[in-house]
Amino acid sequence: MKHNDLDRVQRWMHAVITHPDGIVAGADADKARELLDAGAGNLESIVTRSTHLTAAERLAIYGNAYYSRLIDCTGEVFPVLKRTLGEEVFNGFVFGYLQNYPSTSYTLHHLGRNFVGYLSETRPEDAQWSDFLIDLARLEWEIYDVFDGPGLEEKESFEFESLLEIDPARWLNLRFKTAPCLRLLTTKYPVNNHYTLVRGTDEAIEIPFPGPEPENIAISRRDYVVRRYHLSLPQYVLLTELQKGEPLGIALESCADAAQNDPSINLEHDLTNWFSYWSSEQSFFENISGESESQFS
Amino acid sequence: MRGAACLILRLKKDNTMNTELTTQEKSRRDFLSKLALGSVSGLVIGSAGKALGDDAKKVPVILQDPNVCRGLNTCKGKGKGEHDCAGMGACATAEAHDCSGSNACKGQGGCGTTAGQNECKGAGKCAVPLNEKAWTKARAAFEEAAKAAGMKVGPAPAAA
Repeated sequence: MKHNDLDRVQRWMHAVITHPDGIVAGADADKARELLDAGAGNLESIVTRSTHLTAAERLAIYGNAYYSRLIDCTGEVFPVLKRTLGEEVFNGFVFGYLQNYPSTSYTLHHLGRNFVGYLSETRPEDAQWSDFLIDLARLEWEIYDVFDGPGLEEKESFEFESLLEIDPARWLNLRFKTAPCLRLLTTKYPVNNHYTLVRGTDEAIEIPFPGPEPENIAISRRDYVVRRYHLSLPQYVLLTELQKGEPLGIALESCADAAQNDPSINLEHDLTNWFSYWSSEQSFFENISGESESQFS
Repeated sequence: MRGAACLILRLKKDNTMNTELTTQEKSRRDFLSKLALGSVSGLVIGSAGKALGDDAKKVPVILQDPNVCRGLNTCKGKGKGEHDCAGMGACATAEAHDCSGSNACKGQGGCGTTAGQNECKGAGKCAVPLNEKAWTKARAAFEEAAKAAGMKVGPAPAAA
């Protein structure tokens, strides 16, 4: 076997330095030995020692850096979860995550994409408290994804006044194209408030975990700034239906159903306020069309 | 507000139509049409930036949180990121990407001269706890935080 086969050496080195149990275990593992059958005892046949370091120690620099960089990057995506858990515990989760979902993309942007799923998969049974951490991770991933994803900044603003040119009899058929950066999520814990609280509090101050309380949240972006909005249940239902592409009439029916047990809501009045606010925010709707294939009936 | 007044007139005109509908169905459609009127009115008014008056200010059904920049402003002034408010995440990603691309981590020089002492940023963190212990430690952190907050916590769950 030729040790100067660059491609093979590169893949061998990758296998060795990414092994979760370190360089020695990585060099002895089948994956590495299938590429270069050196083993931990013969590492210096591939990597020379330096004045001060053995081959294993030199490789360990890369092995350490590989995981520490990825863990650091993941921590940047989930800063509040990291602070909430503490660095050691958070790093433990990420280390486990990287074993199950190794980085496969040329960009680190996608590194944390499956982290929420990983937490859910490894969630202890009957451990309701863990939902808080999963909810928090979900919120942080959405914030991250919205920030770097497509938005409305480069698009022409929709002329809402054009709706007045549509026959009011057809308004129930209106279809909304929601902004590509609009995310709607519902959580079991009030993580949106917790996120705000943690971000605005000195790191030296410990923020207690909140108790369970369902929360509906909209996340969007305007002028490249991510914004979060607390939503009532009827608002969440309404926006969800519109985002699914349902006509306004269907969305309003669902909204009315969701609001029927809430005496504080006067839909005829409140809807005007809601939509007024949403359109003024310029981050909820991309456009609205009066034409639709299926009509509300 | 002229637009909203116009809408109301047009809706009244529209309400004279659809006489063939059943009473119940007509009632339903009337109700939904009123909601649609409110919705469209809101969209037009909001987009024009017109205030709705004290009622709207008093009952902001949507609570706007403080603008969230994800701590992104920390990048401003550091010259990283494409936006003024560039994200901290993007900043860190770019840094790490540079490292893998150029194979020249910031600390690598330091690593070379004082190798084995983990000068590379964060290199000492590689000995992280294994996955199966993470939830257990998370539980401990949760109990500690809950206790500090005076929350009652149920018994620890069985291992998955």
